Amino acid sequence: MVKKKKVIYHGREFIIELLDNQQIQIDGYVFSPKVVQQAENRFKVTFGKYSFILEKINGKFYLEGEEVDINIRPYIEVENSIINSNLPKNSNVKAPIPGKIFQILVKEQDIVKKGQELLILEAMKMRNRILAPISGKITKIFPKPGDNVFQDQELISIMQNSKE
Amino acid sequence: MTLQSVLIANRGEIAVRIIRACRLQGIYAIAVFSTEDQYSLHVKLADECYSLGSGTVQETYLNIPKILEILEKSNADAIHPGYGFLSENADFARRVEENGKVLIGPKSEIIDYLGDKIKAKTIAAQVGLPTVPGSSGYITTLEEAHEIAEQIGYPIIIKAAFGGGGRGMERVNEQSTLESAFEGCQAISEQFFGRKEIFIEKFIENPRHIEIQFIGDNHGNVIHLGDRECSIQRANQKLIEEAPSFLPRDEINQLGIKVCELAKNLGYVNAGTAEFLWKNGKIYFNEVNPRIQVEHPVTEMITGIDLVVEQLRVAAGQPLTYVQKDIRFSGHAIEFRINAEDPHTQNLPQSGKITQVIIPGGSNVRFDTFIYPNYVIPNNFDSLIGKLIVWARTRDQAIIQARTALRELTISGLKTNLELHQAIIETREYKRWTISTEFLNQINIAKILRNYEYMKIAAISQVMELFKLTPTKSVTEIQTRPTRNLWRESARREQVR
Repeated sequence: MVKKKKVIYHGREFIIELLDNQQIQIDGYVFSPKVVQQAENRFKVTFGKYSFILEKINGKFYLEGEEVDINIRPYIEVENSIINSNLPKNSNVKAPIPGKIFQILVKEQDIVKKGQELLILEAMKMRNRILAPISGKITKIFPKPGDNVFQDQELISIMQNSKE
Repeated sequence: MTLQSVLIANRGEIAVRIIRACRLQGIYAIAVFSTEDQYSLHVKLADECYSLGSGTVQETYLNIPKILEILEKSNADAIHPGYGFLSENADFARRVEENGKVLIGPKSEIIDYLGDKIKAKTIAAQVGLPTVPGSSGYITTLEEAHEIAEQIGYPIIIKAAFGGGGRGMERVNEQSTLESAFEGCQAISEQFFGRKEIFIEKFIENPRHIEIQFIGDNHGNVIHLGDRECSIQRANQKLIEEAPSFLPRDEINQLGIKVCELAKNLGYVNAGTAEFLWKNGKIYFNEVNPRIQVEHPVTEMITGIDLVVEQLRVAAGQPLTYVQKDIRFSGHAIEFRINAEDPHTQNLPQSGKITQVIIPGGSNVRFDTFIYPNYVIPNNFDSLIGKLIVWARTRDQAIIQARTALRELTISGLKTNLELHQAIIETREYKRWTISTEFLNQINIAKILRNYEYMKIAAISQVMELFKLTPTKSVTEIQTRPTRNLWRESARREQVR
């Protein structure tokens, strides 16, 4: 069975496929990494003549000594599953990646529909459109255009429509 | 005379380098810094430091009145301009001289003279150095331009006589575009350098960049310290430099002798570099850089001479420590410029906090830098954050040294071009030493880097999948977050009160 995943590696997105025979496909290239656990939190991964040491120290990953910023998610859009599940009354929209607020397209007290564009977050020279996860009223906008935001920082609060 | 104290009108790794040489000579080292640089290593290491305030480089490190004022106030005997900034500014040198201070570099009139490309070419030709075919003087009319272009053949390059920094140069491939290029170059020359003089040279396609290091004293002695090759460049910026070059030893010596003669004829005192272009067995003089160069450590590694210490000695009027026959060349040295640039995104400069640094060691490994853990790289300056220099008996062994050291060198917190260097030294062209200034345009480095990144992602993903591991989400600091401007804040408070 092929498992598709979305990988965010140092702020950039890649789609990977975990193939059956422990092979990994990235952008059409197939890799066969050989992994050896050398210590509890130390792994040696070999691809032919290339090898990498991956360590986990205090919860963080280090590849060849350098701190790794990686986030692996299921490929299926997360947003849909949130919309279809039982939602809390109030929903906070968070920054999916660190970046800079390029533009805010709504104002407080606006009524928005789910899927509507709320703001544009600029990260790694790419503009990411942040969409409303639910329909409702904007109760609070935290950042201003031009602000730098951390990953998971709260950006916008939406109060769900009572009729939904 | 001995120098008691030296003001260093620079920042970054070269300021640190100069402070070290001052210490070795028992000289009191005085630093200047812009507010953005207040936590930089050169400020920490200096014996005394003065603020240049906050602002652009024009308002700080290029601010001649302010630096002269600090020179006066600090009572320094001499000033070292390093490279870049004011290092080739004849007007600055003149004003330092007028204030009765020593500029650690050649005299202002020599900087002036060498800044005129035609004069430099003429004096090089006088000592028998081959120069690039072209106009023997400035040209003012389009007719002259056509005439010379016909003589030397296309492609040609039109250059502003007082140009620099890659500006004011126009390549012309054929007669039909000569007129527009000629007028365009004249306009740029007048706009940026205030002078209309231009000249024409044959365009040398993908040459190799060779240079000769020399140093002279006040007693009529000039010696050369061999050559360097700096062909690995990106957008006219050197990236990897090595010494010696591929030229046969006797050819290097012949060039060196002529360069020394040129320097003697000029009355050149202090360190300088004569640059050459090499193509198909022919070498052409290009220009003289009247300052210490970024890549001086490779020469230090193969000669065992501390060039900055020699600069300080000759600036104090002392004779050179060495005569030509003392100079012995041994082994091979390579320098890698470590830049805070992301090679995956068109080399965009990065700024941010250094979270971790692991500096490689072992014998014959040197790392000149101003970064340390928790240091925040300001975004106002150029992206050079360190220079890794390795030495070994042969070039092949030096590449092995480099591979090991580059792998060990770890800088976390912002992106660097470390992987670019790792990719370059594994190419067949680099190993076989068949490189030119067009190397990075001819080799598909982006593809090598991308494959390397895919392997890293595959490696991490596989471990996460097989061992059901995930890293705890770390709140990474925004890389573009500006540092607090304490000076501006306090100035604002003052105004409020």
